Amino acid sequence: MQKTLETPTPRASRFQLWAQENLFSTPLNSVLTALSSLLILWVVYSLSVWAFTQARWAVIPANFRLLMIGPFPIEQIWRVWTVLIVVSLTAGLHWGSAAKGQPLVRWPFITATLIALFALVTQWGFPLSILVPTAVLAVFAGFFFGRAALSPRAVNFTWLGVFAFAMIVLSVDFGQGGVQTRDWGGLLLTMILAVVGIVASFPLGVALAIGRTSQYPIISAICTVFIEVVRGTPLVVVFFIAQLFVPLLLGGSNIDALFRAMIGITVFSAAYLAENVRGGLQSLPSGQIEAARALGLTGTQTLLLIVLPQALKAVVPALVGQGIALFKDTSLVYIIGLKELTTITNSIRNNPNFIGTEKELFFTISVIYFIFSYAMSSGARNLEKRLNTNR
Amino acid sequence: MTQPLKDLSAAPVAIQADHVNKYYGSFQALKDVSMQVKQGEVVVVIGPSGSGKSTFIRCINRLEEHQTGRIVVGGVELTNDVRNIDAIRKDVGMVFQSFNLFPHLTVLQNITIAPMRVKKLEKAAAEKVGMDLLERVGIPEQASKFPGQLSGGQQQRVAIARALAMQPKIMLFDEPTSALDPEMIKEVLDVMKELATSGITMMCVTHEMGFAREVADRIIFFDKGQVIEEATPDDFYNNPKTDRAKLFLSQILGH
Repeated sequence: MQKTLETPTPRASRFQLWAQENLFSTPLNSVLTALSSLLILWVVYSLSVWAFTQARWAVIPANFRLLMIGPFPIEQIWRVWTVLIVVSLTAGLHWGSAAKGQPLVRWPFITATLIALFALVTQWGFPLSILVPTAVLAVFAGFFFGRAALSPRAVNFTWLGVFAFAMIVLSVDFGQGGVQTRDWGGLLLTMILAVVGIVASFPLGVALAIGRTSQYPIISAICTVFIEVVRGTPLVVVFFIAQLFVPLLLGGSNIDALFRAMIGITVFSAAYLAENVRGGLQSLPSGQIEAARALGLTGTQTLLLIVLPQALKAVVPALVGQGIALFKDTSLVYIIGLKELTTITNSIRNNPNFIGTEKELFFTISVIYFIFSYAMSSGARNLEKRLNTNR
Repeated sequence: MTQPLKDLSAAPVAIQADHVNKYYGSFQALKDVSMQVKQGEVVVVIGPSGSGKSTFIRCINRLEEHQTGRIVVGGVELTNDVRNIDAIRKDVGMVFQSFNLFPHLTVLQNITIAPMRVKKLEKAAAEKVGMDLLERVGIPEQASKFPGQLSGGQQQRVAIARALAMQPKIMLFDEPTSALDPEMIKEVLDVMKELATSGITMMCVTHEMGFAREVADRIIFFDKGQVIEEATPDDFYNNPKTDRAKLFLSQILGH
């Protein structure tokens, strides 16, 4: 520190140095820098011209509720707010418990900003002026309580409870009528499908991977056939098959369409996840298993305590990539008539009142998809950093 | 004599192998191997690469399966009966050439995992055992580090502590110093020498001739899957009886 203080470098020249090293190090690099700058400027300029002079953004606030929750009945909207506030609180607990002894980390701020942004887009009125600040407060309250009192493990279990709570609050009849799952829609439905798909496909995929590498030929054959058949089928077809065959297998034709879609996406994702995990299992040196067995650990203990933690750690990037893909693939449930974010967007642009606003609509939902996808990959980078034991 | 002879004639048998054969496909890795190790005895197994010495030591805790013959460890015969295998593994510690520490666990967790999961020891008790052992192998200050942050010699000492944490009656060493940089070999051998004087039964595959001469009660010379010669270190080094042993000794001691 002392040495750098002796020769103070003005900000500009430090930037110049960085630019020289990274942007203009060779003639070719300079040409590439110039060309890509032009490209970026052109894209940003054209988009800005469109966004600030031509775009009719009124379509977004007018349909914001549809984009967020689809046809969810307005008189039942307290259910969504209850869930949102509980989720905000739990998210705060989550980040708080992971930030023991650290100052405020960026995630609560980002979430609060997002919720505030959300408030700006919607028509600001009586319930929102209470509910939005409550959600923001819940994030921070959760953060400080979690940091003071909770372990990350406790919060992980809390999440399971929160999910069950959300499913109940969003549907069950408490006396004044319930909400049918076919009335769930928009981003809410997208999130529910993605969370169920990611959470449920994880144990199933791990089990399939272990089964495929099993020493028992029957188990290995069943798992291999299952994985290969599912991987050889497009997701859209899997959704159709789930619609048609789940009632056949579980009996009764009145099984919830959303439930069938959940089964479809879980099965589909599990097959891919299994192959990723199998890669991790096979990358493990055989000496690890030998050492565990020589210590007297049983086969199951070796699998759970030695093999799986290392195998899963090795494939975290692949698993997150898959989670992101699944999140975006939920848009394919339009094929079976579920009204998630993309389906709703499509139906809004067909509304005669909003003809010609597809650019605004699709730009907006691509930003929404991006925010959540980026949050996932950013969370995964933190996880990788935390799991790295070779520092 | 570099050390006083132990009187092992009355000691019970720790490891008994009778006419053991092992094949990899059509290749015969072990040919009619018979030998005995007494309780408290320190046996060093030497021989050229590919002579079957590692295969044999790995048969003793069933990391490799022998096809015919009998191996009895601590009075329990190794069969396909899983209970027998588990019983033997609880009493037999093993140290590998490539350490095989668990990279996702800290040094202390590496040592406590087996006592806690196999012997169902309380965490505090297991950690006490673990810290005592780390003290014994000379690296208590590394307890909360991960294996990847340690040098090779330190990792191998942790591996020895990990095996000792189960309080085994027998310790198997499979070329414990072969993967180490020369300057780290001594720190591992010192731990093993200390262990050899503690009365534990030890069977050690190694190329460290100085170590063998200093601590072994007996040397077993393997070649082409067979036991060629068994002798005290002095006899083996000074008057090898077989031509194979003479040739081997001239090759490794000649330079």
